[in-house]
Amino acid sequence: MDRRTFLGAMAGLVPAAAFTRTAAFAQSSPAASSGSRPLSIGAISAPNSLDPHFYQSPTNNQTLRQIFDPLVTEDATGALRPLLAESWRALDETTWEFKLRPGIRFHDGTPLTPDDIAFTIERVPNVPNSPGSFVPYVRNVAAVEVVDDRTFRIRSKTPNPFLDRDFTNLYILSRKIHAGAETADFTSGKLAVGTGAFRYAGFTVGQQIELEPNPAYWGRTPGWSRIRTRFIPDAGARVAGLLSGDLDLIDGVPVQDVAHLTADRTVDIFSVASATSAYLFPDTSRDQAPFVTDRAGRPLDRNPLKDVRVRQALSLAIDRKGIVERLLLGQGTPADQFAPPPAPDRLPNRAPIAVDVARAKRLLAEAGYPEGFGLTIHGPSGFFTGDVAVLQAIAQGFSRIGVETKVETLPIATFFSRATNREFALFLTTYATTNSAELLRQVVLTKNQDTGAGPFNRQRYSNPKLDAPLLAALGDFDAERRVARIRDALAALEEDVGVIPVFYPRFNWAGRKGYVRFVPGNAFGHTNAVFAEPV
Amino acid sequence: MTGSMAGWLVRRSAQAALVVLAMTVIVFVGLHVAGNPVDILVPPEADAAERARIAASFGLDQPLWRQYLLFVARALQGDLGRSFIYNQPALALVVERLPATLELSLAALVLAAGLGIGLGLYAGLRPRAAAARLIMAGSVVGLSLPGFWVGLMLVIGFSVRLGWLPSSGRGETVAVLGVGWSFLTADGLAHLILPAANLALFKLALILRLTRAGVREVVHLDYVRFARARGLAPSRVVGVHILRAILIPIVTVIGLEFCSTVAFSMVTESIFAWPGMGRLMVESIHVLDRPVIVAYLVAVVLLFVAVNLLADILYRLLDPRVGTAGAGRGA
Repeated sequence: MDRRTFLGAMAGLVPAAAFTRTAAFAQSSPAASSGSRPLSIGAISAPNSLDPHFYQSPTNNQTLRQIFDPLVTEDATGALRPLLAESWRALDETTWEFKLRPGIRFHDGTPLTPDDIAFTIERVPNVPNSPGSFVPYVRNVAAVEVVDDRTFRIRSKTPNPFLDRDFTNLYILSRKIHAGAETADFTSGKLAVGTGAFRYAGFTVGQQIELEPNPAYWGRTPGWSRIRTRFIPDAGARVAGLLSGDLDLIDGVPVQDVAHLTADRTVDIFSVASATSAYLFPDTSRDQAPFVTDRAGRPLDRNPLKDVRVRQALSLAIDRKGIVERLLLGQGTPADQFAPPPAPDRLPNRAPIAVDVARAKRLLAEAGYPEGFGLTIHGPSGFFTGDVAVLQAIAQGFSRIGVETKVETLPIATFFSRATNREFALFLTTYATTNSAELLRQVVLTKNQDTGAGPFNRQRYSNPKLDAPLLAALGDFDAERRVARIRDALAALEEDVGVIPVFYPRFNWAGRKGYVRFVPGNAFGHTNAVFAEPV
Repeated sequence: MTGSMAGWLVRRSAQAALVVLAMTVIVFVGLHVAGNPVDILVPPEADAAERARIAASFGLDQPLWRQYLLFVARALQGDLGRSFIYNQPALALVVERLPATLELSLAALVLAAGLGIGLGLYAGLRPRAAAARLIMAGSVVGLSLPGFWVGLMLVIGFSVRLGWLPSSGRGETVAVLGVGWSFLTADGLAHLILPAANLALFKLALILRLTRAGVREVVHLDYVRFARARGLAPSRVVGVHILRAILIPIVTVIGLEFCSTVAFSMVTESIFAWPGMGRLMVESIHVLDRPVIVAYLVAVVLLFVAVNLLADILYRLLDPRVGTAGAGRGA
């Protein structure tokens, strides 16, 4: 998930608690019948283009998922579901066969053919100036072979048991319609032609997108006459828009507002567990770490975070339940491990990590720090709801076991660059995925400049007991054995406390009662009309 | 006279060019220190190769001095670069948002100047009237209340509670000269009222107080008394003799306030989800979209210079004693 969306999606930093509507909803009387009603959505973040291959970000993906379809999709539990592909299977370790749903047509009537998938994969690396492309999903594709008018095979260069998952965000274009299409042709609406449930009806960059239902859609379309999504980054403005009747559905409801909106008889709240994991990342690799001192403030000649007992002690010092209940007002779940709940391959049966000050102090003493030490921890501000307060609560917990902790928070524009430059001893951040193997591969797999492994392993964590089962799992086609290996890797990380999991946030939406029902379709917090039903 | 005017214009332009140059250096160095856009943009699924590709496609893999020289070379040909985020020319992106901001600022300014000068004259001429005291008390409130709070209160009052006006966004637009303006439609006006009032409040109070102070100062001067003694109509005394004498500081303030409204209406634009330049700027800063930030600031510097120039010319019309040489120092 990109940071802008996250900033938005999780951040209702502006307390808009003062809004309560007393004037009746008289002027917004319910429309005659469902199917003839328009839907007005207020979304926190705006897509930067309508080209589905320009920018791989949740905001673009959630918006364009209304106009275009992927082959495969993921539901709120992280399970894969058929979409344009009716069925698929791996024939061998490098060959996958997909069968398209019959009778799919693009909005202009052009039928979908297997060659369009070949075209889509060819186009991805050729979208100029992409600020984040879909190339990582198709880099491993060697060839697409058309078998018949509905069947095709994807050959991969190396075995990839997650190949089907790679096609959940890649939206399919038509060679006939989109050959030679430039990003600007999509954004202008000219070639914003897909197979999706809605058709393009207008787009102003940074302002709004308008859609109308696709009468020829192969599946069921929600019965809205027209969709208008306005992009409103300010949380207070979105809540006010909902309460004043300008908007029917908003996303990113600030936690401070959830309680009084729940009590409001004109509003319904919808929510879903997100695939996001908020965690602390300690520097376990360097002999001396920045921002680690003795209690008097003098730099330490060795890095206490290298000792697993110190990391265990820090983990035991965090009051996760208190953070979720009091700071996030219940809009989250205390973490019991690194992988978030919607990941089907996470570790089963883990008990929440309880606070244990006595044991934490004992572990510190065993590690040679009976008096504790001094530490400054870092985190982003304005990245997710209550991020600064969460970090302060963590620091208080650390201080309670003798680790005198200071907090420094930074705007995201600065924070991530400094974290990447290894300027912090321990920092708070998040990662969102429903695939534990991806989580481990991107964040904690040993970083290797040559192979490009561990791109987000900012603290250069390295654990052979994690790498071995993970690397084996990444090429393992035996589903059961693969999950077992992923869990071995997760368990190795857990035992070593390579990261300190804190909590899993929730996504929420608010809608006009009796007008719209929102059924979150995935764990990434996508806001779109596909998931909104008229009531 | 025309010679000195031309020289003055040349001096002014040279100053403006220097300001723009200094500003671009500051932005380049400042953003470089702040962070790397690739860290903000890169999708979590990205691998190291993809990261390197992003940096290379924006030229961020080059040393900063080379990035800057490249920017200057292109800027001299009128190309301020493409937005990292939108893949559109940065200047076009800023100019595209300009009408929305301009419309909002002008509406706020008309509201502030019209009411401010009118009420200020009244309060200055009848300082002891109860209404005048009320106006002055109100102006203190207008000066001291923070803009974002007033904005939220306006939304709560007029949109959420009363339901009279829309809470956010820009209304329907009509294309005039190829640009969409919303103040020409009823829907557009309804959307314009609250944000314009929000922006106007502070300026109104400022102009009002300035006008009143000016009136209080000149109303007892001899020339006003002589004008009265000559039997001129009170409207002519106020409208010509008093107003003309006090207008110079007011024009200065209006000019500066107009600039700062166009340039820095981010708070109001955020609260009311007004799709103007301010919002674009805030979003660009969040993601370190350097070309857009630079293009925006270049536009703002040029705007300040142009409006100051206009104000100087207005001075000369209002008061012939103001010379161009003196005005030149006021840049």
